[in-house]
Amino acid sequence: MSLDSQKLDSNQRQQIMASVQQQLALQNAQELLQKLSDKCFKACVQKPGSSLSSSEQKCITQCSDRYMDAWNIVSRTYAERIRREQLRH
Amino acid sequence: MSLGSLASDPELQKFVATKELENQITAQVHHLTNICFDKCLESSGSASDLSARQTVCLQNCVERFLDCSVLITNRTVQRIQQGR
Repeated sequence: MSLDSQKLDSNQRQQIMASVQQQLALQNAQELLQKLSDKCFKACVQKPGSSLSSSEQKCITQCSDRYMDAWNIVSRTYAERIRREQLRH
Repeated sequence: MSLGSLASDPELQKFVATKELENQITAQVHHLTNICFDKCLESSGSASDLSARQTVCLQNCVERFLDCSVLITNRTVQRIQQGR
């Protein structure tokens, strides 16, 4: 029996593709959460107290909203730049 | 299902190649957002939405960073060709 005597059936293939897709999405979400925490903690919590004050909480919420907005704008701008470069060459 | 069948499945290979490319792009978006957030939004404390100025700043930041990368790449190649 050789190594590639068995071919993947379409069901197996779909499963693998879905699993890979899921892992990538998870990885992306983790990266985003990490960045959000780093940025917004740095921006909003100057002197860590015994709990997050309500103004700190508000700042963090707004900061994370702004970061997500920024992420979307950067993503669009970058995608358009790639498209433009492809048209040029 | 064997490793061999995974490696030799053409549709899967194409899928993986596409995903790798997408992943590179996403990683670059993370990187750019990191840099441009600091440049454009740092001192904001801005309330509910990105202002028009902040939006333009982000767009310019992305474009200029990429211009910068291209310039550096070209310059580096130039230096190598000049044997420095």
